[in-house]
Amino acid sequence: MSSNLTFKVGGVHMDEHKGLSESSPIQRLPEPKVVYIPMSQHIGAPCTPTVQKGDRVLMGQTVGTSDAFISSDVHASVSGTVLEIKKMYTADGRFCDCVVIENDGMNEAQTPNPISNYDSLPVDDFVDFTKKMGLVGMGGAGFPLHAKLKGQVPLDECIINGAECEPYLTCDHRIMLEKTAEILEGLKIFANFYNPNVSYMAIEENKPDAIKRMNEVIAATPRFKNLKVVSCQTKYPQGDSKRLSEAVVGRIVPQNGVTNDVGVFLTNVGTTLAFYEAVVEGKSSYERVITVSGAGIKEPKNLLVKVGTPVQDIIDFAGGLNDNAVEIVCGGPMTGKSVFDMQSPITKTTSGLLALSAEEMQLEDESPCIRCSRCVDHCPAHINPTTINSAILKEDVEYCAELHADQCMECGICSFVCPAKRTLAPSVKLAKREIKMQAMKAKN
Amino acid sequence: MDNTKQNPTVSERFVSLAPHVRSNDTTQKIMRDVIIALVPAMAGSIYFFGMNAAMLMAVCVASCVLAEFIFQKAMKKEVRIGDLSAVVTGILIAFNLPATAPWWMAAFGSAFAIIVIKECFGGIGSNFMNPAIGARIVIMASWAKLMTDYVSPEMVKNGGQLVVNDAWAVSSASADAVAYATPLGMLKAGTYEQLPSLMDMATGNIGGVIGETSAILLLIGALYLIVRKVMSPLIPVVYIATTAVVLVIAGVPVEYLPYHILGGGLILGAFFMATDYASSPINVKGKIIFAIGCGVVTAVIRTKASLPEGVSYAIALMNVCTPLIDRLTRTEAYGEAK
Ligand code: SF4
Ligand code: SF4
Repeated sequence: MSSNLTFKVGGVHMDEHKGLSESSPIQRLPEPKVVYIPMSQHIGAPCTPTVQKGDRVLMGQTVGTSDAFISSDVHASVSGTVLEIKKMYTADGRFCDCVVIENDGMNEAQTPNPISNYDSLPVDDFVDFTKKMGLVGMGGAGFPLHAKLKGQVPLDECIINGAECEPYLTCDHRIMLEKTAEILEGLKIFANFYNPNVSYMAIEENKPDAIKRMNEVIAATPRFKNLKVVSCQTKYPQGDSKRLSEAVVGRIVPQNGVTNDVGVFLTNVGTTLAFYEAVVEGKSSYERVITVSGAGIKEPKNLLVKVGTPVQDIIDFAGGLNDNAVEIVCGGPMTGKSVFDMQSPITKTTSGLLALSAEEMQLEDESPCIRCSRCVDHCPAHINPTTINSAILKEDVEYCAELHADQCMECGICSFVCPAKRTLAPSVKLAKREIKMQAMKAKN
Repeated sequence: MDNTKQNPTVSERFVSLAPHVRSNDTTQKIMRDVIIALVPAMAGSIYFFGMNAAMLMAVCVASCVLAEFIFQKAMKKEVRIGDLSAVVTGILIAFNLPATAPWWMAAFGSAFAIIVIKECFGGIGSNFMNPAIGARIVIMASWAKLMTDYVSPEMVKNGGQLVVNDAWAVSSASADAVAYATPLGMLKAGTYEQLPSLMDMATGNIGGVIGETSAILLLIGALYLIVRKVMSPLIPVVYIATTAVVLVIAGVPVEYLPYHILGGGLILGAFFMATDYASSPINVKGKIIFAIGCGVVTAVIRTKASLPEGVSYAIALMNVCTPLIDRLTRTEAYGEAK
């Protein structure tokens, strides 16, 4: 087994805070009374509702679709009646149409349509299926899976991302422990497409039990002998697709590119599990495991939650908030979004809900940059956040472009490490957006 | 908090932009670590040079903090003396003075460093030169004699009077009795037989300015900073290595290299002054160029110039080059460009 693999530029070791929830087995969240199914749960075109007020829907039934290629169907996560369709915010702060369904509690599912001879079919036969089943990257970005299945360059390496490098999050860790065989079966199907000789399951070293379990199942299953577990150094952002591609197969993705451009198919473990469930069990993507954690949560947990469940229901089931909870974050603490409305629903890409205390956040006012160079040393994009910060404060977009601000991967490390507590990451992100806008203006 | 906003129409929840967690590093903690790192050398200097050293350190620290406080108040800027950076500057300035320096010279140098070099250029992080280096150069230019009037620890212990005000008169009258030639001065003059033992050089039992004498105590502090990740050994190591190489090229016999490395403030300068965050380049490539530059200039001054030592001039010169180096070594983004 290869171990200690990592990427070369930047990165940071940080307090993992995984102990809060890592040993708590996945529990199913009790049925929500009402679910709000967002029509925008991924990168790309939002879906249009295919149901109307008053319709009865079944669990797993399509409630939204789009003809756009970069888009993926959306499904009901409960059976019940459509109360209305209204615009609201999702937990990660998108504003979109949501199909509101009153749960009848019967969980009446629509007839599953698995693919039975999946071992012998070519990848082309899965593209449409995957789009219809609503499979998107569940690691956070939410890129529709079908759009990744075929690459411009022939894909010849296949990696499943089980790094889970953000602090607090343990949902991927738990599914690797509890759904090991299913995930490996999913990887096996991908391996059939891309690399039947050796395909990789990449896990950070801070999850030795998951690494062990994966290896045991592979050893016990002759069918999996072409699958290989690789362990990566515990270092944020190991789980970023480009960094993982570099760490595992040594392929460096060009600027503005994706792993597909260097022949690497790479997707998250949660997505792989969902892919398995879709192909083998015929189940569309309407629920996922999330981590509820942080010092502000009474009982940190890993929960199997239906898409569209309001944040409030989930927090309540985890014992509610402690008095010290300052902020609720949807996703990991480094890249997640603030939740401002407790009724907003979670999506397929929600990996966690964190209630953070002031102490964990280390809230402090900005002070002048002391040029300690920590932000430069740790930036995985190998750019200079502090100079970009001062350039964008002077609205010098051109200089920001010269400094390659557009290559920021929005990992948040620069803000995290800055002793002067400067808000570097948001300002580099702003610079990135300004550069894009200027480029668009120049084109028109 | 600039990156936070409350959106009262939706809820009362706290809202901020990612990342939502920060490391527990702060500017103040970094400066506190630097102060802790300087404590062994401070204690050593008091042991070797007596209460005069303690007095000078107190004067420098007090004047730096006071100068910063008064300037920031007068300019109606936020008072930032709490970040402890002025304390660090004060200690470093004292380290650059001989134990015989008069208090008013120490106070003047400190005020100059803080007001002219630091605050007038925008305060913490914006100084173009290490303030302590600036102070040393200004004092040196103004009162060269007082600045080079070294006493050796022996003289202090033997009750050899610490000549403060009349240094010039006394030392010219009985040069050998009071003025103490530094090891580098002896190297320059070729009076090798008078060199102290290397052991004395390493522990600091030699003459010189307060803080540059004990290499070992300074290195203990430096090691602490490296372990705490406050400082990277990159600049000091490259600096000292370059100095050694260039000295050898310039004809200094290899057996005298240790004297060059242990003497004349190279350790103090390389570890505690060249590494100043604000006035050294920001990325690795730049730091290496900067350190090589410091090394070359130091060695050239020591062998070719009329001055016995060149650390502060070398660092000051390279400090001025830092913006240029930063521009030449701009970071190229990750990934091969398309
Ligand atoms: S957020 Fe952007 S600029 Fe900051 S460290 Fe990450 S990649 Fe670099
Ligand atoms: S980490 Fe903060 S203080 Fe250090 S160089 Fe970057 S912006 Fe400046």
